[in-house]
Amino acid sequence: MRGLAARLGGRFLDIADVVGELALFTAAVARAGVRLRGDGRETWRTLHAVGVRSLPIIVVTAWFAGAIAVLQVGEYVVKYRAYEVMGWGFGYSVFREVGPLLVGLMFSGRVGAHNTAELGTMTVTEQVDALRVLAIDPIEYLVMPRLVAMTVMMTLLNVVGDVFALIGGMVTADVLIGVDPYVFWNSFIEYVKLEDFLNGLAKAFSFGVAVGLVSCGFGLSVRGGAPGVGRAVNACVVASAVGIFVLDYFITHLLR
Amino acid sequence: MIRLCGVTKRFEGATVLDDVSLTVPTGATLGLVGQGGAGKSLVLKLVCGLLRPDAGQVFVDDDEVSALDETALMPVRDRIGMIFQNYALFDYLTVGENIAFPLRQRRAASADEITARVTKRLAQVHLPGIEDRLPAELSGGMKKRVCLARATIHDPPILLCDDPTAGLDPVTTNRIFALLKAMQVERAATAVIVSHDVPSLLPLCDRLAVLDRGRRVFEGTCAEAEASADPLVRAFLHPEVTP
Amino acid sequence: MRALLDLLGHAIRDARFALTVGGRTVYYLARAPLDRAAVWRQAFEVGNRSVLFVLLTLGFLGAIMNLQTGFQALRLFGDASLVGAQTMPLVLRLFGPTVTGLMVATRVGTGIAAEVGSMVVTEQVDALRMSGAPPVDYLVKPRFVACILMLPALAVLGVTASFVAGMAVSYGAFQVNPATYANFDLVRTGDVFEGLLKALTYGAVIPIIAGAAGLSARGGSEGVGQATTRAVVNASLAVIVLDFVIGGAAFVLRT
Repeated sequence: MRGLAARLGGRFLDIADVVGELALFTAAVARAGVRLRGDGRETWRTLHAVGVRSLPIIVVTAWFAGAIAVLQVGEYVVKYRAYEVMGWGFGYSVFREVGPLLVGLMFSGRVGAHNTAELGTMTVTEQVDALRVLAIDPIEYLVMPRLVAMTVMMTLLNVVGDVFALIGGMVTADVLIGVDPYVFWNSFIEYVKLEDFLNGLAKAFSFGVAVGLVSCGFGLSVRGGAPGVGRAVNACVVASAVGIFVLDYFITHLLR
Repeated sequence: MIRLCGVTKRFEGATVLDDVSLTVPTGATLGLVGQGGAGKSLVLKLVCGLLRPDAGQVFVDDDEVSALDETALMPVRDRIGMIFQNYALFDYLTVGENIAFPLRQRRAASADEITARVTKRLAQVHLPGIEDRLPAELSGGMKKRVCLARATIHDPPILLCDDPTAGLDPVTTNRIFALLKAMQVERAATAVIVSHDVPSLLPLCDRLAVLDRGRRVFEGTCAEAEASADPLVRAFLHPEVTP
Repeated sequence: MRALLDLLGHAIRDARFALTVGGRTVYYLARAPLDRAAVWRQAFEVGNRSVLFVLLTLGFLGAIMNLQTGFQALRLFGDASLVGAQTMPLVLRLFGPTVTGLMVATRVGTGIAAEVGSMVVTEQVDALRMSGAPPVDYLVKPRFVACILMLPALAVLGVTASFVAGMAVSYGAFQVNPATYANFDLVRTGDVFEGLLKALTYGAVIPIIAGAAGLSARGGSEGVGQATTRAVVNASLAVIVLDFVIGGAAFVLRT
């Protein structure tokens, strides 16, 4: 029993450790952000890399997210023969919740994990130290461009994701439930409001910031060679997922 | 007997072994020499079927290794002991469990017998009583010797050593070569030893082969190697006179 | 366009290799004895690694779902007392198992890929093969059985966490009495089966995909990093696609 208590306590201390370190890191990044310091060329390069890396996976994920949402809404639609609300039920759940959530988790797995591995390898091979010796601030040169690129891309990808989720939803509704795409589209246009879309966009933006901060923070604090990089990647995706759910909750609460 | 007949191996378009033929008669020891990236480690991996050639054949005794599948390779590998360049010790097992692993996996002996053999083997490599340590706690030379113990625990008639002294200091290097020599005398195994330390290697070998960028530039007895006019062979045999 | 085709090629290669690994796992399951101690060790690892994570994320998910549903219900009917009843089937057959699956893919999938991947690049997997231990039999099979055992259990815990958090939020935000919240009228046996089937399937697929990603690692620490990333993405994608497939089949059966 004492062993268990000690382990649990140790686990919480670990978590507190991580949260504290991330908070300090965020403060340092915020200082650089306020001074508007960052490398422009590196930002463009990262934007491109992040976009290319994640677009296909996001398209596929969004398509299935739309399809899955239609399956769930479809049950009630069929039961009450309320075919004209299909697009609304779909749009509400996908644009606000399912879309940003799944896209965010995939983004964290694809881009965040890659970013941690990249920065982690740079750290353990002393490339980051080399930057410091050259009087280049790693936060301005490495972190800011990535943070900006990931935030911008996550927000844009969410828009792309909404489009493909819509297509996935329409196809599934047509094939499995027999809702005409025209009927689907009409109910979607009529009932889904701009605020549903913006709500999702706000979430995507915040997920982008969270994944960016977490992945850079874990990447730069890697210790202990190749196994350390592996551990950091693991910790990064886990912390990003928790961050995404926590942020999602608070944003849902704030922007009802 | 180990035989490679016209073996070619490519990786992503690059030819890393080009039409290489080698023969190691039963009971003989072949020293395999070459610069980094010449394809020496690859030859060893082809012999034990860890990799497959793109062309040519590999024989171990009467088995054509290059044509066997993973299951059929098992009995061939039972006859081979392999010492990996970077130790390849299982980092989550203790030294004792590492050495016992090949026997346990094959259910080749009773638990008591395995323990006894591990103890004996550790004494032979001059590392008595370290069964319960983890590989991460050992120095490079110690890991190499544990690896040697693991590779020979099932008394294989064939021994493959991939650069057994890479990254070790001269004192440890001598100790490892002395151990290899002792084991060789004891059991008259067929062996292939990869190394760039030719002066230490020569006393152990009956034959020598030199690889250069995937091609075999020399194969013959040690005496023939001494007499060779090939500049690369000379450079390896007499490093002190090479400009 | 080139990049896209490239990606498709990679996806097909990954999928084929995962299928091979899956096939071999089943083969060894039928042919070779199962090392129970290894399975228990792995099951403990899987549970120990992910239980807190699953409880946390699924708890928040339950809270989020009940908020969304509650706000919607308030707007439409001016009454949120049915949130519990409305969210329960969704949690059981969709969010419970699938988000648990995604979290396990993230937590355990990366772990498996990192472990197996580092064993590959340090030649430990070659040493296994030399010692008469086929890597799929020795490394993947125990993890496969462990995940199949643990994923349904974790999904049950996740659903419970989601239920409790949803109850708390509904009480806090909409003053729904916990007794009113615990309303299982809309739940059918089929929903429970669908959820369990999904959890079992994810449990079978995640270790295979992660193991395959680890086994195909090449070249140093960078290779391990890539294998790890591939494991999360592939396993998560597989979970989402399988959710659609199983959910679609269940939907067709229902209607």
